Amino acid sequence: MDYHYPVGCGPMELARAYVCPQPAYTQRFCPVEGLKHGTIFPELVRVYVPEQARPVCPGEVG
Amino acid sequence: MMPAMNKDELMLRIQALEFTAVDLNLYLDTHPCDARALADFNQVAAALAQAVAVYEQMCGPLTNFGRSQSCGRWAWVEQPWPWETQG
Repeated sequence: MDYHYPVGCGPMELARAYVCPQPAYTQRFCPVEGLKHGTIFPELVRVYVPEQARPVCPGEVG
Repeated sequence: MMPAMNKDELMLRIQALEFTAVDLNLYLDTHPCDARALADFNQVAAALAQAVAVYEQMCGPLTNFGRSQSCGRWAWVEQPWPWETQG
């Protein structure tokens, strides 16, 4: 499959996904809390911190 | 026994139970022998079925695919569209 890289970024890895081993199931949020957090597993909750600017790609112009 | 709820509270309960069932579903896909997760899934599925039954009796069908009846009138079209409900 051909990938089309953004201009100026050159051939670089587009993305990589990791699946971390999930700890054994011992506890979960109540349904409403799980819905709010986007997961029923407390150990998977991460606070989302919006970034004002994205990191610059290596070799990116401008 | 489920506590008495109004329409919005019931809908939130259904959405929350459905989300919990899906998340447990995903966990069980990779941990099919986890008896506790399986028991929780079954408990959540039963609670969800009960909540859906109560909601549909009170407000009309949640889906129009023949899984529930519409008694007395065609209540499906009376349900709010997603953009008509409060987030």
